[in-house]
Amino acid sequence: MNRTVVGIDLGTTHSLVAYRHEDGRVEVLPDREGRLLLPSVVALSRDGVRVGWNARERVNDPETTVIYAAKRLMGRSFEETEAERRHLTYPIVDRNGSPAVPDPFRNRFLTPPEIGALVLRELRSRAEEALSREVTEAVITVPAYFNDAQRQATKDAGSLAGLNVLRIINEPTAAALAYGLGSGKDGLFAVFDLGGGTFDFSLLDIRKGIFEVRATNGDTHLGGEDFDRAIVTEWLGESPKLLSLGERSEVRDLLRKEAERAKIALSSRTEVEVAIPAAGFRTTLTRARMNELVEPFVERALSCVRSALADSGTPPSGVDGVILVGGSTRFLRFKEAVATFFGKPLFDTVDPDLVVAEGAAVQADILSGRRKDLLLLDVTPLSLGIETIGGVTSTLIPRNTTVPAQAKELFTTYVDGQTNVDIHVLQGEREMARDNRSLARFTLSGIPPLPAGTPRIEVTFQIDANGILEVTAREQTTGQMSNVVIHPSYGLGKDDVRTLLKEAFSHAQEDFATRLLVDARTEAQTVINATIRALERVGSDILPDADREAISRQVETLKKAMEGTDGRTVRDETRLLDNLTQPLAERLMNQSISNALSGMALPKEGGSHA
Amino acid sequence: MSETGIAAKKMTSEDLLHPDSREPGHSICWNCEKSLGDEDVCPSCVRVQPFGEERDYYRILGLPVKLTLDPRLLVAAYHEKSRTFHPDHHVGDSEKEQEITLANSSLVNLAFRTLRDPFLRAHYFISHVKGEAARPNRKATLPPGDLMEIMELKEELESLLSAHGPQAAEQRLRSVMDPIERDIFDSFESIDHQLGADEKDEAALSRALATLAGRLEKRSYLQNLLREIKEAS
Repeated sequence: MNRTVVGIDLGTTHSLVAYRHEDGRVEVLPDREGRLLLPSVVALSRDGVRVGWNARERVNDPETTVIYAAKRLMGRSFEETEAERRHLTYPIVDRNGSPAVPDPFRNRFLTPPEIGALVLRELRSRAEEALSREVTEAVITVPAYFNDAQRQATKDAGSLAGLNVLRIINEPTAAALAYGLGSGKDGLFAVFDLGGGTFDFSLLDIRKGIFEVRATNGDTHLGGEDFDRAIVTEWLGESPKLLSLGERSEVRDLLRKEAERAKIALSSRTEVEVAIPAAGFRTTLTRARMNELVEPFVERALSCVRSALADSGTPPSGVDGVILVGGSTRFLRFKEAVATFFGKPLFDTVDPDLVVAEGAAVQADILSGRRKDLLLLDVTPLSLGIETIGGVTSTLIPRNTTVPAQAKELFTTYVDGQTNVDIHVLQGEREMARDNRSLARFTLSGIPPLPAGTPRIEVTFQIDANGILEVTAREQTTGQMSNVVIHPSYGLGKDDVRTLLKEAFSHAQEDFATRLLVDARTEAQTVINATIRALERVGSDILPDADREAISRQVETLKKAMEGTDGRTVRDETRLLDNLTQPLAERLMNQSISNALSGMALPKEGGSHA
Repeated sequence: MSETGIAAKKMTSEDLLHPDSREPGHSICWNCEKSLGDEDVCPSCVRVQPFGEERDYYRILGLPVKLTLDPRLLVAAYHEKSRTFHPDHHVGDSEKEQEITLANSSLVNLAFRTLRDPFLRAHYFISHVKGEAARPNRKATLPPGDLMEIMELKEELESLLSAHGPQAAEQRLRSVMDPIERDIFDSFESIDHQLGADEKDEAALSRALATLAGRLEKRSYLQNLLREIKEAS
């Protein structure tokens, strides 16, 4: 009996699940309503947890926490997500160094893998319904730039959703599989993946059914949203009035929507009229001007392309074809730039929003043991090594090394009589350890006390086919060993997390007052955040200064209460703030401006693979 | 006394022997214990077999021990071995088989990575033919004359870099590197030929290998300069 392995594209804005049938047909599995995409959105409210379309509907519901783009938090520390958090409108707190979203209704915190798991569970049940059988195994795609921790976190999300994740594969690689490359068509192919907010470039060597990722490069903050922003900036420069109005987020949002519309219109026309009557703004945007505006982004993308080519020693003419992935590749200027740069045909016939999921299904089929005509050879995206004296990085496995890979190096002690050695495992290309990412730190002890430089410590790095790293340190004379499977650096080891959760839970159960306080503080923070955002976006026309002052005062009072330890006081002060802002919320709803607000909490379409 | 060092100092990797080419011996299948010969997969029970420490990179890929390798043959051999050993084609196999495929395919990848690059290959080849361990990370030692030449070149490149930019510096460096690389490639065939001859002139051969080793060393110094220029640009 063959296994049922599905392919999943767990995207920033949308997720999809696909399956390759026995007859070779690849199908993106729809939900009951026939929809292929599932918004990667989770909504937390008093009456339940919603996922997907139902969750997205709750976007403007003040009683609901709507979580989106959680992929940007996946496998990263709280500190690392600082820039991302500024763009996200739901509360994110620091839990043991990792980001987490409070669920005040169920007195818990959701980690990014847990949020991903909710989306994956939805896809899993969708697949089970569509295929009429149990689904417990999957291949999940991630961006090529994802590091070990991010890949591991994605795997964890799968496990939490009851899925055995057989493989994490790169999105661009999946795209090539979807195009059927590998069966008959040999060559060196470039994959150009431009989503809403991220850019990935990969170079794939395909020969007789073997896929080898020869190089990857990219930019985590480059995509269609940048073009929209550039157009908006241009318009703000044209009109001083617009510039002053542009401070307001709903105006800016409206402008961004207009910019997106103009951008899409310019794919088929050479110029487009833009009018925002409310702001007395009218302008004409030509394709030529827009192309000038996006030129810096084209250049940034091409510089990633150039370094990937240089890494693999390939001239542009050595590439046989370019595969386009991601909604933003529909943009003409990019198509043109890519075609000119390589002088090669473009693959753009498969829907760039579905292509990754379809490819994941092809790889799922390979791993189900059904076919052995294809083999995907993958590389490590970043160099791996350890810290040595002086804080210098010593690389054991250089980036773009094909996995599985193993490397051994000998190290020694620095101080006479040293009996322990700290092994600090690093990921990255920089010379100094502090500039690279710290993956793990462990100690090898029991080294015989000898003069410095005498002991021989063999350090072995083993990366498996999934890119998961295992580091072993062994003292050669005694055989003393320390063996560490590197698990997420986005927090603690799995067992540690479990223990901590258990402790937190039992503690809260024992102590009702503590639980009440935690609960109340979380809710208070949520209300404060929502209030501050609302205050920022309304002017005195909607909110009289006196009311604004009263609200601000109550925010301060509530903040003070939160510093105390009485949960009831916090809760009462929160109610007061809620009451004060109630009329504002109503007025906001009644204003035409609420139109501009609708959907603003969600990022734009077209970046589902970002 | 218990002292913990923050970091361990790297040591020359003399003791990290790359596998040398001992004869395979009379190996038997780990599973059915039938005789194996030189097979990757047991002819009786079709289980993958571990390479073992003794296998050198050429033998791992099933290629002749030569400096000149046909890149198409090399890639074809690599793919064949990858098809045999890659863990993806062994999903669901026993734990033992998974272990073997992980170790073997790691070695296949390392072998390919080493033999694909002509300079790494030459370096490995020399150590292999001499029956020594390859030491890719050992401190290179250049004759004083060469060292002086490189120091002067480095100064020249630095001033070129600041006055005319990285392109000019790279061009100048390539004018020194290219002839050395040509010499290296030119020596491949003659060394292969000498090794294949019925009556070997051992002295001439070891001279040729020493010359090649010297050129490789010099080139690796120049390669570092090239990297510095690239990083500066």
